[in-house]
Order: sequence, then structure tokens, then C-alpha cells
Amino acid sequence: METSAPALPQTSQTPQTVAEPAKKSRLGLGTILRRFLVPGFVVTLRGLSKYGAKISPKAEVEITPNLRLGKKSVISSFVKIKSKDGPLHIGNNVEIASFCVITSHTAGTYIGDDTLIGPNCSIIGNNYRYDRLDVPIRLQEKVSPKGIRIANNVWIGAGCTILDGADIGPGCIVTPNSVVSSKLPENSIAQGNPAKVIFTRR
Amino acid sequence: MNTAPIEIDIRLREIMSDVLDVDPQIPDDFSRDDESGWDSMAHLRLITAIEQAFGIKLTMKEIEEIRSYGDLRARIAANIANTANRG
Repeated sequence: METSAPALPQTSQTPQTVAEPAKKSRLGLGTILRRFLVPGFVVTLRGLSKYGAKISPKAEVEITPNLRLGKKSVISSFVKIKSKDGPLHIGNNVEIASFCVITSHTAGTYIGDDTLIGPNCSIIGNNYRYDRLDVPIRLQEKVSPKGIRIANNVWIGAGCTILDGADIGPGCIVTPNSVVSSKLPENSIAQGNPAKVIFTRR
Repeated sequence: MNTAPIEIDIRLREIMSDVLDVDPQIPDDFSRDDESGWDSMAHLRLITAIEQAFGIKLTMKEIEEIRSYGDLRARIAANIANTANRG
């Protein structure tokens, strides 16, 4: 008869030296309201009335006080815009294609006028510290010392990743699948990981 | 003008084989249609390398018109001649 309780699996004792942060529940009332109770078409209507921007009802734009959208900007379906942690300004006539993720942190994410952002781009304004080995990275402080600046009239190709510290000058072109985390001078065409200037527009 | 045509040929072939990653024995009728690696981005990289090597500056229209090795060689020679005349 096998009545004995199954042996407990020997759980590997992961060192949990740091307690969870005091702000344990991230699902505050504001988040719940923003995320679950605001239907897409409400965000679309609000975007149209408040900013004059066209937001797809299928996009997920968190309406927060940090967010500022320009006139006639277009945000396509399945775009996620997260501006809970810091200022996120998008200029006029900006077109953001599908499947982009745009986040901001304390130093801010600023996107200028007339900028085109291709599908599948990630513009990630936050960074984690990793200077302690005994603490999981997720519990270490989030930092964004530099922020992201994208100037006017920039064309960012499909699948690009723009990270904290990126400063893309006016008139730049970033070719598809490039990774930018530094300064690009104006009118340059940059390619690769890390993106390097291959040509200057004239 | 002190850059002989034969010298342009040698340096241009060197740069092209380096940037486009092709065999240095580039035929005279080599064109953008022959080499799939010679796409618009590679073209811009090639132009940047050539401009640095020969100390010239091409206009956007000239860059767009270049379709082959012969076009490039002619354009470089004309530009060097122009600069020499002006200087």
C-alpha cells in the first residue's frame, strides 16, 4: 500500500536574501483601470479629441499624465505604449507601425515630429542595474540615466531596437534590425549592432 | 592630375572587393545586377569608402546613377579631373 505521502521534491534553496520591495502589488487601482476597464475605442476617441492623434482601437496605449501625443500622429494596431515611469512625448505627424513597443523611464523618451517608425521596433527607455550578484536583477534598481531622444524627420526601419542613451539626430535613417544606444549625428544613415554611420545624406 | 587611370582601377577593385566581399578580379562589365550583395546599403558603404580613399565628393544624383564598375570608374576619374582643374 502506498499511503505514504509523496516525497517532497528537493527544492534547490535559491538565496532569497532580499525581501520583495514594499510596493509588492504592481496591480494598483490605476493600472487596473488603465488596463482592463478602458476599452480600446475609448482610448481611440480620447486620442482623437485630446491630441488629434489616430490611435488604433487594437493598440494598447496607457493614458497617463506622462504621455504627450502630437497632432495627426498615427499609432497602428498592436502597438504597446507604456509611459507609467516617465515622460513619453511623441511629436506631430509621427507614424508608428504595428507591433512596436515604446516605453519610457525617468529620463524620458522623446520622439520628434514627422518621424516614421517601422513595424516591430522596440524603443526601451529603461535599464536595470546589475552590480550586485546576490540580488536578482529584477529586484535591482531600474535606471535610465540618459533617456532616448529621437529628433524630427527620422526614419527607423523595421525591427530596430532603440535603447537608453540613444540620441538620433534630425534627418537620420536607421536601417532595419539595427540597434541604437548612442548618438547619431544629423542626416546620417546608420546600420548594424551597434549602429554605425555608413553614409551621410546630402 | 597625378592619379593615373590604371591606379584608379587598382584601388577601386581593392575597395570593391573589400566592401562587397567579392573576388578582387572584378570584370570591367561588373554591374549591380550581377551581384546580389550590392544592394542599396552596400552601395552607400561603397560610396563612403570610395569618397574617403579618393578624397572626392559625389552628389546624390551621381550616386544614384552609378550602376556598374564602369560607371564608378568614369565618375571617379571625372571628379578627380574636375578637382584638379579647379585647384
